[in-house]
Amino acid sequence: MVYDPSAEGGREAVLTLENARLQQPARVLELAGGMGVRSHLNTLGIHVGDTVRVVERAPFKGPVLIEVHGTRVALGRGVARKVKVEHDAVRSGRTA
Amino acid sequence: MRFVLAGQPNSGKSTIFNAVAGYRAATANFPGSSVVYTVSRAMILGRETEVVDLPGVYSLTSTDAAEREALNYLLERDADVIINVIDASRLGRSLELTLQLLELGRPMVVALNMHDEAVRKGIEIDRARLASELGVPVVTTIGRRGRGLRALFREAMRVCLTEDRPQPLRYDNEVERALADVAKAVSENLESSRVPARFLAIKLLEQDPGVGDRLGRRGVPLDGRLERAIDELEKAHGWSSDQVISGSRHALAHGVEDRVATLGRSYVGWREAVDRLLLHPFTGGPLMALILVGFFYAVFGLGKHLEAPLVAAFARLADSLAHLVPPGTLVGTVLNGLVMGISGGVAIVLPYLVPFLVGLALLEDTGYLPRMAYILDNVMHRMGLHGKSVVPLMLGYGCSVPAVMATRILESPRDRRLTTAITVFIPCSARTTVIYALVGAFLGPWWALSVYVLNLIVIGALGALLARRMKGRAPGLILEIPDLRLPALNNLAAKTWLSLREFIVIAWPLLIASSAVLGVLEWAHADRVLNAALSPLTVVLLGLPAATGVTLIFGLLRKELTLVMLVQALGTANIGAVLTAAQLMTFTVFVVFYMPCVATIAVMAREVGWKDTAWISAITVVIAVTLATATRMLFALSGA
Ligand SMILES: Nc1nc2c(ncn2[C@@H]2O[C@H](COP(=O)(O)OP(=O)(O)OP(=O)(O)O)[C@@H](O)[C@H]2O)c(=O)[nH]1
Ligand SMILES: [Mg+2]
Repeated sequence: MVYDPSAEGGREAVLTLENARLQQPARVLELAGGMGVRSHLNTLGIHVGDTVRVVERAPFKGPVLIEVHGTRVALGRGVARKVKVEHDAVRSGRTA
Repeated sequence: MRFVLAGQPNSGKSTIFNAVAGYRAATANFPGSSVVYTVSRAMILGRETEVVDLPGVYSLTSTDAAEREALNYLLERDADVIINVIDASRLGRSLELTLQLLELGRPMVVALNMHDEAVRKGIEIDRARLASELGVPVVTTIGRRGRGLRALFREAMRVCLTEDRPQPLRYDNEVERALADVAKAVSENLESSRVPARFLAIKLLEQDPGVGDRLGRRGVPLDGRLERAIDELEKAHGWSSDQVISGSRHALAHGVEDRVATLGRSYVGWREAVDRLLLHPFTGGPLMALILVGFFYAVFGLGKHLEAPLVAAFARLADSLAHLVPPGTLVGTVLNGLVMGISGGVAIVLPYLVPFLVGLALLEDTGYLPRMAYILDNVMHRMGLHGKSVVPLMLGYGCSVPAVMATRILESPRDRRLTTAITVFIPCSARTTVIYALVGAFLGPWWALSVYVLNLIVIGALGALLARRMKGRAPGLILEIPDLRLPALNNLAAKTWLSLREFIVIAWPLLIASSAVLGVLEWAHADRVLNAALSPLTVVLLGLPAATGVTLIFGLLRKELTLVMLVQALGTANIGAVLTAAQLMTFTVFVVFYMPCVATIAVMAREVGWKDTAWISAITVVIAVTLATATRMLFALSGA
């Protein structure tokens, strides 16, 4: 469950809200983690397929501030790491 | 007739409730400002009705104790009408709850609140279309200004009288098929239920532990039909059934939103600019420190200016009274005690209390508290907690009682216990008046600030220590950050008044009675017995005058009493003339840390149990004695 970036060899690193680009729309691919966190995110209107945007990341591994459906939500780093996303630009870049 | 206000957190339920019931439910700009339900009788359109304000819930699956309270109310009591309050500027997400409320099959009205916010964000909502999509009346409101509330309650009254029961919206076909199967099994096995079988079926398919248990305990045999339905759903979608349902509902809600709402240009103004600074990685932290220190200074400066003339006036009153009734007689002693008591309450407590409460209300209503939670999440992790705990902690500066209640917004019981334990250490507004009036006024603001810093250091250390002992890890911060908002002045005033009234109605009578009691004790020289009994602590260990002994006992009732009784016990409001700097500091440090007041003990016992309450209280005493003794030593060493 724990994601170790070094094991991925860098290039194909899994994108999560922890390392997604700031201010760029990203699509949620997976809500990893237990049912507790997942259903909590669901109740706040965050589902697989939704578009979210990382607004800010607090320093020193602080929480991540995201915007989803016009609402801002703060997610602790541990939670942010569990939300796998992709940038649309990344995807089109791959097909090109 | 019972109208129940239900909706997502921070949508304006309590604001609407207060508009019809008088200001009695606290409102604030952060999710989770109400953690208990509030009931009030109100005359609505000439009829006697009962209005209920529930804590906010994001969905009918609860994640914390406050949500559980709302959920239990909805499922176990009969609402004649559900008034679903929606934040119009977050329509899609709000509708996810609306769809679930419709499934309860009760007459319902939707209040499309925060219309002003929606307009600001360029969102236009076709109200009639929304009403026909949902099958319930929709009324546009601006709760804060009381707009649309008459129409809202008129509609509520109408659906109540006609008993218009809404139809739930339909999910996609596979989900509906599964639902039909399970609902059939449920209704075959359950003679009567307060909530529709379809609703229970949804909860079962969602594998919601709360509602599933509710049914399971009654032992409903579903002949494996539930398991089969779950299996089929999961096979068809490749997802767990809870995700299938919530995903399907999500799509449904956003489908409705797409059809009824059009998005124009949103207005970007000062709020967005300020918010960027407040949350920016570089400026967020420093600004927070600036805001808090500024708050501290503003309250202190204002309080000091208000205090001086009041104290002088009461001193003159006491003097002229001494001429009329000679001190030393019973009447003279008691009267003098009363004047001292009242002057302590009016002249010393109020000047600091009022600005402080206003300042705190400002922090709550602007929406700064959840931002502090964001900024401090990191720090809280050091204590094995997460940022959300900042909200109860900050409320603790107002009063420990609502602060302990506010721990209900935390998801895990462990976090609640831990946060409760450290929350009672936060100096409440009563203790703050002690800090300001003793240390701030006589030693200077820097000294007062140092008491707060010391307090925070102790809390940090204690939190880290306790976290190591209490197993389990904080699940991580998930917190909605509401928009910044300029507080409405009337709301600010009403809120300050609500806290102040509590001081006047409960503390003042107690204060005056205590003053009279102390007067009698003094007259009978019984105070000396108590003081002598406490002197090993006060005199020997802490180096204070013996007269401080009784004040500490009165302080258990309410913390303001220590200050007021001190004035009386020492016989002067000019405490700085009687106590040395070392004594002022030692006394204040002791008062800040020792024993929660009786009201706090009572609420703690209710919320976390007697066992926790006992050990937490014990720790407060140990810390108070240790730190106060250390303060005395430090002063002695430095030769002050
Ligand atoms: N702009 C605007 N603000 C509003 C309106 N109604 C309420 N507010 C503000 O929104 C904030 C939240 O209101 P509350 O009444 O506390 O919300 P609630 O639904 O009771 O929240 P919880 O108890 O946390 O579930 C407060 O700061 C209100 O002043 C409105 O129509 N427009
Ligand atoms: Mg409320």
